[in-house]
Amino acid sequence: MSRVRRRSWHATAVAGLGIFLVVVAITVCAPFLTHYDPIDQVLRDAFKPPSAAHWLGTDRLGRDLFARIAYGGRFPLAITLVAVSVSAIFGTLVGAIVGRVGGAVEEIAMRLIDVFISFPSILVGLVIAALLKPGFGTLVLAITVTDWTPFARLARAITLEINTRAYIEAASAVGAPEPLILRKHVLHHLVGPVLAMGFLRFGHGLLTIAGLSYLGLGAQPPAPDWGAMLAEAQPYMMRFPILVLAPGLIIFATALSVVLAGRGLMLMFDAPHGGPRA
Amino acid sequence: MAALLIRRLAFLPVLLVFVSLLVFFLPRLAGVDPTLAILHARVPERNPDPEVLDRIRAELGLDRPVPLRFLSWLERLARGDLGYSYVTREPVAGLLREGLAVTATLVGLCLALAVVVAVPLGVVAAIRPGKWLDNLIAIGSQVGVAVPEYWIALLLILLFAQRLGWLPSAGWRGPAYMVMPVLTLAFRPIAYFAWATRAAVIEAMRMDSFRAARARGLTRTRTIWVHALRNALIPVVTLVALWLAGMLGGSVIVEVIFGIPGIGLVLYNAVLATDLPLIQAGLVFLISLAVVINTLADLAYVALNPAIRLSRPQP
Amino acid sequence: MKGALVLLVAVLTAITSWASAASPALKRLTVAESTEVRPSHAWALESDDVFHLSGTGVCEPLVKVDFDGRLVPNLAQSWQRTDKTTWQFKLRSGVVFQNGQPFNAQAVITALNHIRSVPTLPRGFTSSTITSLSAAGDTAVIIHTGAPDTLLPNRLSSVNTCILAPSAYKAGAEPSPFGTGTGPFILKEASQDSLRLVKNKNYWGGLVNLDEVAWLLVPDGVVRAGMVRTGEADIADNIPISQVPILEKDTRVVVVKQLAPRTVGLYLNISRRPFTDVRVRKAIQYAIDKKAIVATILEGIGQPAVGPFTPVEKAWLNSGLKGYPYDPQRAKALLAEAGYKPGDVKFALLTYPSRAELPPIAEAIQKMLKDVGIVADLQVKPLVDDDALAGKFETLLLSRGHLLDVYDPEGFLTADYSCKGSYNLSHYCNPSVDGLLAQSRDANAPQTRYNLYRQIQSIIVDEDAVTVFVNHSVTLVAHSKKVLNYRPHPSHHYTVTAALDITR
Repeated sequence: MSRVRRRSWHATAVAGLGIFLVVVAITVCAPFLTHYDPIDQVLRDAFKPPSAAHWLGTDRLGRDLFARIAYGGRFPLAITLVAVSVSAIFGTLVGAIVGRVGGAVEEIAMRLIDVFISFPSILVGLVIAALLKPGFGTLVLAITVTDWTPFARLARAITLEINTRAYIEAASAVGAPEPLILRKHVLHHLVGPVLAMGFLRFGHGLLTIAGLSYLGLGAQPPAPDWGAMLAEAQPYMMRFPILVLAPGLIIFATALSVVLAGRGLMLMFDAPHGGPRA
Repeated sequence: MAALLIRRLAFLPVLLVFVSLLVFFLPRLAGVDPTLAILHARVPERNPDPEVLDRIRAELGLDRPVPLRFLSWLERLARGDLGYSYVTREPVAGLLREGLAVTATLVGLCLALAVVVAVPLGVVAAIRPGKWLDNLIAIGSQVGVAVPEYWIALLLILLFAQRLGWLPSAGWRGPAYMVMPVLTLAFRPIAYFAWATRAAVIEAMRMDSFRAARARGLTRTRTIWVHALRNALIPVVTLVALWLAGMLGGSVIVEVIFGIPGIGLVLYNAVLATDLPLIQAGLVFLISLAVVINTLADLAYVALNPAIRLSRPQP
Repeated sequence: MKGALVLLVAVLTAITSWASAASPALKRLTVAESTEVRPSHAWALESDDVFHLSGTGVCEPLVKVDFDGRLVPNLAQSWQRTDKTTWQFKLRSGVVFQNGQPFNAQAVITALNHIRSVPTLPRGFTSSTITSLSAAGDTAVIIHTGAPDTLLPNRLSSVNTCILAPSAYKAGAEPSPFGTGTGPFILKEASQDSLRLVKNKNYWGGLVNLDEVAWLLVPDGVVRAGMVRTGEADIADNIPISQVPILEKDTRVVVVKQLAPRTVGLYLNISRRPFTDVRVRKAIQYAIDKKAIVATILEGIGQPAVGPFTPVEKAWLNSGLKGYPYDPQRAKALLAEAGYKPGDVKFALLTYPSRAELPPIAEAIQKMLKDVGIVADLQVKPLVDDDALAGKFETLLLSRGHLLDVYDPEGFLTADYSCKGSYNLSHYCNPSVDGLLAQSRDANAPQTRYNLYRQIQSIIVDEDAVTVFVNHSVTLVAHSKKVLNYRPHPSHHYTVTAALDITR
């Protein structure tokens, strides 16, 4: 039964990765896919329906919607990538070190993590992004502040499990220095699960970033941005629903693809989910 | 067990002070001048009259040195005096309480709906793992996790409020106003709860007590629903508690879109208006609440687990 | 037997018709009102909270701007300027506060003293606007002004100065408007998102048609528009332009459009290069196609602006302004003449999102500037006047109401365009303008004043090209066809009036 299960999970992980790569390809290759400039306005062509000239129609300033979607992923995807990478590196290191050191340090670190993991991430992100000037760095900070904690918990859990293995105890007994032990024996066990967790957090992060952009804290106009496009389209959504369907759909598809990939990888690497905090 | 409890609880006040410190200094780090913030909040185009600025500074004790202000703020917080909003000049505690009542209703309804829908789904998935129903629920749970709540909210409003006119699009004036926000917020908990229930039930099915019940002659289905579910509910309940903690502040976008006067919207408006007392007290309050709920949930999970561990799961 | 039945029917008919005559169905009207911040349970009369009190017919000032834009007596029957700094206001008789307290000179003095003593004074007032108040008997009030002030009656038409009963004002707390006004409606309840009002049977202004009013506070304009379509509200105030096509297609709804005394303008920080050069300023003016902006972004709702004042303000509008018709070639020529090559002029263009039309207009302006070789970096964030006033900006797209403080442009012109003006975002200083303003404050006859304002407009627009006035805004209100006698007020002060009615 478990073999059947593994194969089907392989399929969803692959499907997820596939969709994600398609989305990334669209954002990266945007200039080749469309000749329109996403910020070029032609006021008299506002609100045109989909046609051969404009595949998805135009927005309220006459800008080509497909071009806005294609270019509009660059900002949110880039921020999410940077934010999750930073969180992953920082969180994993903290978790692994704390898992090795143990004792009071571990206790304090775990309690701190308890606090940070309790922060409602969107609210904290909102406060940070609104009080500091909106920008790339601010948004990365807004995500990273809470996002490093799941990595720390995961890394600690795995490290604790590895701690009990014979060769680790042997290495310690022989007097090998901690950084060496970490590097040679612990870290490569972490790569797989952390990668899987990274995909999952990417999905969560992307939804948060797009949400903050929807609230006006993301890319500033006229730069295209999926979340901001949703907010711009909202007053007109009854008259021109495609303006709201298109950006939302691509956000959803991208998040879904990374969640599928992440879940699949999680099961492939048999990572401990650890209690109710999946 | 008691030692664990004491250790965890002892840390709480320290953590809360730490959180207060962060929250207190955040606006200062951001370069926000409280005096100008007040002025801006009270009269949109104001006279930059130095006499007025000084009067406001004195009125709020902003002319004292910073560490003193932090300590006095902390002291007042501890006493329950959360200060007064710059914008409406009402006591912050009242505003937070009103907001929390609304959000608690919203989140409570949402989680109740989520449990009622997700737990049976999870059990059904666990009964026949690997079959089409299980796969369907699995995919459904991935979708639920990935769906952007602000998009769903807009689509629901477009369909049910604007096109069909069945439901009001925003506000909080009665049961009809609760339908769409609760539905929107319920997507993600349903997805997570169903998945967690399935995992917990499968785990419970591997226990000795489960086999014992089967051996006594009960049907597989009945045993799952009665026995395994009972054991599986413990991790699920702790999950619900954790989500409660997270959603109290995390419902902010839904509250903004649907105009629900919950604590998320209160804080969002406070942030836009740079209403510092409200922002600071609100954040400290919410985070403290979340930390306390999380800690209690974790402790409860650990406390109740030994009951499960009595029967060893089969390798 | 038959006789008893007939008697029974007759008696029952009599009873039911008596009962229904004794309690006819109440006439109730619901307004969906816009609000940035919900008014608190405590009402700061000096803040914008007060618009909810005047709009609902609770609180009234001494003087009123009527629906045709004229200054008329309200709670004050007449007024007279007895010397340069003294005015006498005769109070109307027959007015009584909703709680029964008498309306007299002492009550008016209590109310005005309150508004003079608040920490942040309302618009149009400084600490020396009124220096003292005294009663001349029960029915007249003597007001001394700090400097000669021809506009004191205008200032007292500001709803911030509306009069509540003496018992409303308690030391150390905000005034209580519950049952303490003089207007056609009594405030019964206030919750966080609505007000409930009932008819004032003793209103001095005559019969009040409606029995009850529900004033709902709904921050989102699209939602307000939807409420009129579903019948949740009878009147929806401040509809966004995006909803007008939908409402106009609905046969049960009427959309009322009124040109508002509010202009969207691109403010240039004249103290900074390159705006110090008038040729650059004029180039920016010629580069912007205002007609296209109104036709497309505003969907035809609004009017391209030449100067700050609208065609509705005939009294002081200078209709002879030349202005700057769209001419990108001329813009490029002026820039070249000033010594700038395409791409040399770079600046930040700031605007804020709380007025929905501003960000798209800013984006369109950015593109139009790009077409003449000017690079504008657009930033949209919540407005912080303080940064702007401190000069920390280069250009700002702003929606500016110019009759907010008093129904006379003097306040706006002084605040925005005099050298020491309190809202002089442009950092503009032209002694001629200051001189003309000083003359206007001395002038007794309105006509003289208005002619001076016309000269000022000519300087600000045609000579100095200080601000790029883009378009005049339109107040949009939607109401169901059942609503009768609704008239939009030029300053948006009064929505619910005694005359407002609704068919059952």
